[in-house]
Amino acid sequence: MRAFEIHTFTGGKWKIDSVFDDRELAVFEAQRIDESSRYAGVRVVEENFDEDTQKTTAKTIFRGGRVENDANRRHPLPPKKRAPGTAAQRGGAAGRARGAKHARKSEKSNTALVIMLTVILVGGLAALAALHFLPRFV
Amino acid sequence: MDSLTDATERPGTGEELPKGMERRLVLRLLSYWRGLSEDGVLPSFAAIDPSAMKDMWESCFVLDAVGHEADPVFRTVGAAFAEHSPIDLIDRRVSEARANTLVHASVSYIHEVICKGVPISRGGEFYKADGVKVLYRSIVLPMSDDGETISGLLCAANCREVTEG
Repeated sequence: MRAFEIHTFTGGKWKIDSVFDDRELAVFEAQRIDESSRYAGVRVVEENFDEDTQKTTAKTIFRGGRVENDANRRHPLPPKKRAPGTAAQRGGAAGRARGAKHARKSEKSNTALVIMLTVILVGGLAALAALHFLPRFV
Repeated sequence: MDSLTDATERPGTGEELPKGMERRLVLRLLSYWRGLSEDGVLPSFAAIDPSAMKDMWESCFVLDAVGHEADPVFRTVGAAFAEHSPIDLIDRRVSEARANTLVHASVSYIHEVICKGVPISRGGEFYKADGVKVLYRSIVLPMSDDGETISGLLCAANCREVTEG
């Protein structure tokens, strides 16, 4: 069995306002209540009673009013997974700034690598030359 | 449940509703009831003005629950609603409503309203004694003399027959 309860938030608590067996009617009426701004909050809770398990499950199918919107702000949805790519590619001012910084850091490390390889190469050549010419002077 | 037609929603009136007015009887009556209910206090029968709800009154009926909580009594019955009962309902108990009628379907959940103290609307279908399928929609609203204890119920219902091919 299915029921759609309209709840209104008044006096600091939720209260059952009315009950319907039709989803469309319940949501329509809840929207009407919401538009009247008579209550701080309004919601529609769908209740399903499973006769086999004797259990009732409930879920909110409509939220309106200040209370529900405030609750949504306090408990926002978890952040979406980030799209692949650098911060700069994802866009946004902060992302772009982070991207530029990352690029500068990467450039510095490349320069250091080239200098280090050059030093090793020159050192190696110097060592070879020394081995080649040193016996003549000994 | 199929939607009731526009024509079915205004039985007995024979008049077009003003433009922009809610078409569904149950929502119009609920809106009227809300207008009488201040700050969550249940409205009293004394506040009802049939002349202010001509478009609905013919489909309404009133149940008296004082001293008859378990089996309320019909006190007022609108002409359009009365057409769906083979017997005169005035001063009869709801348990006397004949099965497979709009009256029976409309009073089948009044105890839930008395228990919860809030309006409940139900619809559905039933088959009349002659086998004709009927779609209906009803609403039961709690009323009170002292604003708290339920003393009666304001109800309304309408329906339409469905020819099954």
